[in-house]
Amino acid sequence: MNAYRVSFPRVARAEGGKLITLRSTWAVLSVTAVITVGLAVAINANVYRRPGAEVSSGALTAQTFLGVDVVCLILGVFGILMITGEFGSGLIRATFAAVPRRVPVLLAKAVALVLVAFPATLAACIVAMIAGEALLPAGPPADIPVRALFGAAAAPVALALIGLGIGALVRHTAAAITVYVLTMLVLPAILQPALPEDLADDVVRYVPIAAAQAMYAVDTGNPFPMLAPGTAVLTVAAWTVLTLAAGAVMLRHRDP
Amino acid sequence: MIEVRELTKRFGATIAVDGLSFTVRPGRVTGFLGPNGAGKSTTMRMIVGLDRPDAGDATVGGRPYRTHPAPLCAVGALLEGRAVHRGRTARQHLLGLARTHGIPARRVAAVLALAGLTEVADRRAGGFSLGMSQRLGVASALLGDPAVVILDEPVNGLDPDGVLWIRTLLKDLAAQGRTVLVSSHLMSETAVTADHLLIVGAGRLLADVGVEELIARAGANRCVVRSPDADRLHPALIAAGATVTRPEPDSLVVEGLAAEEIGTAAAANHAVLYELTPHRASLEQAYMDLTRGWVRFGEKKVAA
Repeated sequence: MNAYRVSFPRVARAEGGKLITLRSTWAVLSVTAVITVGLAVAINANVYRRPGAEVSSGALTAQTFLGVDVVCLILGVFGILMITGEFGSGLIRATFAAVPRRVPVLLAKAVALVLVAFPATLAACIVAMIAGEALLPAGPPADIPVRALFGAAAAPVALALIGLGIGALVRHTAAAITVYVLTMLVLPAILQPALPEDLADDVVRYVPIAAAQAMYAVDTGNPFPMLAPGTAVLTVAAWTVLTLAAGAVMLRHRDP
Repeated sequence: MIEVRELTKRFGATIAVDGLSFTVRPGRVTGFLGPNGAGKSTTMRMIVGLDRPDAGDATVGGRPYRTHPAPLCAVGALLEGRAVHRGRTARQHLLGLARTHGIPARRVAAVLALAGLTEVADRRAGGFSLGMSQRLGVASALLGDPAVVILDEPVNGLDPDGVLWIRTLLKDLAAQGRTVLVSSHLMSETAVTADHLLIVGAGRLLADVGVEELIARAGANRCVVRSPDADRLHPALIAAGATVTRPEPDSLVVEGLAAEEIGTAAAANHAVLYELTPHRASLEQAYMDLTRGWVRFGEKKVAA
């Protein structure tokens, strides 16, 4: 009996097991793969069917990973449900009784989320990339940079982690999804007109969703300036750490 | 062993638990009794670290629950309400808890068998009846083979078989030397299993007594006596020091004398007895007297 004790690897294994024993996990990951690959095929096929379509790495990357924008929203909700589902069902009491320090549970969920979701998004993005490149018309070549591929696979997982943090902060599924949608979609749309013109672009490109998109974009001289890929990764990482840390503090201090 | 010292918890303006102190000893079943809203569940949640006390502290086996390296082995708790994701099977649910401690799958199978859930172990918990959910809750409480078992209203929703199972289980756990704390608002249920009682009302401790002692404290035992010679017997019993009421001409209700003494007094007075029935005060009456008394006399009874 003395061999039994709580350790972080064990909590992470437990959370991984909990995640993969839910049907909804596989349903969500399947849907995201279908959306990623399906939109990449449909959009590239449409664009390149037209004669004289522009062929560039930037355009190809944007067309191939357009579906990732949708996946970012879906996985965000997935991250939220990983923890608000436990508050809703009351399971969180059993979980915290087993791991009364609580914070390791949140970190273990984050680890489990990355280990389960990232291989799935990466696989879907690789298939999307292969399909996109195969649909290119004959002529000058174009390709998707490897860093955009990994960015496209990682960005939705990072937003899922932000969702997990918001879920730990807000606890109620509907409220957490509302907060997530407001932060991701409404906030940037409001900031743009609300801020002085010379400031707006500088601020808006640092919001989570814009920084996440910059991780899988190739600069095309678009009028809306995106963050450089390296800065984008750091910005998204900062948002992720900040949200999870806030969630961890809340879990410690508020009774379930 | 559970030790609770000056435990206090407020929810806004209301005090759920108000300076509660008690010790729960191993080797016996301790019933935790009180009307709904008396603070039983909140106290149990504080013992296992789910609620933070506003003042005071609770220790299990000499240390706060949170500091145990293997909390599930220190305390197994069944708390109020469901604590299961509907989409997972009973076995998956228990494995999710077991893995945090490195508890092997064969222990999960063992507690499923103990709870009588082996046949439904691989069914989704969302389809479980209230009784099956309670059994799953008990199974998860026993997962770590804990030294202390805390069960909040465990018979809720159980069928008669389940109630009998819980009673036997509680006695077995105590006989194995474990500390067993079981809450209930039903005195009749607690009377069957508990050896010792903690009675609370409005977040305060009203009594910390053995079951036998509480019954004894509930007031004098009564005997119902039926006799055609009641006219002669009545004054004789009063002379012997009893308090006697006479609901019917041939019937006496005697307090303050044992049945043996009444029989002897009857023989001495050549009174024929048709009936001599001792009535012990029930635990239910004792409980009602106690909580009623507390409400009426406030602090005085708490000190008693």
